[in-house]
Amino acid sequence: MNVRPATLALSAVVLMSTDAEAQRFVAVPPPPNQPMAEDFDPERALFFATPNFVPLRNPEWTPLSGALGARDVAADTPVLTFEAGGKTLVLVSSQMSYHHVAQGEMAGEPWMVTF
Amino acid sequence: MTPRVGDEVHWFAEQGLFDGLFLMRDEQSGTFWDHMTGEAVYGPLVGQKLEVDALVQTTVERALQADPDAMVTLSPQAIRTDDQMKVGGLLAGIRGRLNGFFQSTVEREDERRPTMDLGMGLWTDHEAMYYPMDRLRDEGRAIVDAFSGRDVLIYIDPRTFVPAALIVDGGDPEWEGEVLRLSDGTYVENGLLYAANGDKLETLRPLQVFTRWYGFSLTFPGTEIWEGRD
Repeated sequence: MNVRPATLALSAVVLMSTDAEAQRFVAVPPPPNQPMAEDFDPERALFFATPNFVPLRNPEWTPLSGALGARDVAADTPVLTFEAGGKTLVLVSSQMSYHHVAQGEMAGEPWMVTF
Repeated sequence: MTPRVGDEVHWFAEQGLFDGLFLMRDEQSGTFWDHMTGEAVYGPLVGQKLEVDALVQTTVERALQADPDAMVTLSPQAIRTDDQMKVGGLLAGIRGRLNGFFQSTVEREDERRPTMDLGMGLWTDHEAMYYPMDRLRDEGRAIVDAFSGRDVLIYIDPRTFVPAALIVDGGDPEWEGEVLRLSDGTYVENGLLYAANGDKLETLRPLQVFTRWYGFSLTFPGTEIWEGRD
């Protein structure tokens, strides 16, 4: 573990991603004097003032078969699946390309998916 | 991934970039985390690691074949289209580069493979292996390789075209239509492992990610690359 010296000269800037044209990425200086992992370099990392994408939290679940029948999804729609609380849970990949993080609890079991 | 630190559930969101990949930040401690390994990389909880489980990348059809009672959540938000998320859409970007925004967080790329190359990455706390998609295709879309002391089947699903990895006992995979048969009589169908008599077996999956080369090689520096059968 290393500790980063408190050298803060970076001003907040606004950056744009080609993957998210309407998204504002407001970079801010890294928090000073923090422990860091061995291979991590805070001078090279970008830290954002707030999350750029709203995480999907405590979502409501509906049967996948019903969503297919209602044409909310198609048979070949790319998805991510995982197990939590004894259930198979499914997230739509294109939607996770926005949220990046989904998190909740199923039958008392906390779960999180990152993408 | 389990969002628990000790006995406490923390809440996470994307809030940074490093090595071309996003970093998560948890609200409770302000620590930044690697979203693939679950390792705390900057902040007061450095030294902690979230429990990580294998995630299955598949299609609605396959998910329902595996579990007809599967549940889905639907969000109005998306950056990319479903077509862009399919393997064909991902392959279209294989000759591309990271844009400058992401590139600024990368010190030096591993140039053994093209930046946007696609493959299956497996890892443990101690080792990592990258299986390029083109090598898997050259090998008939299925191989059994020894990884971290276990035999692992890595195959490209004939319906989704997404690679997947399962821990198996058999070897010498051979396709019979869309069924993948192994030397011990077990077989894989619709993404699930079956005994020779047709009984469904527990499907054990190593930690895996279908990924672009830059993301895997920067997360696991020095990762081995599967080069082909001996």
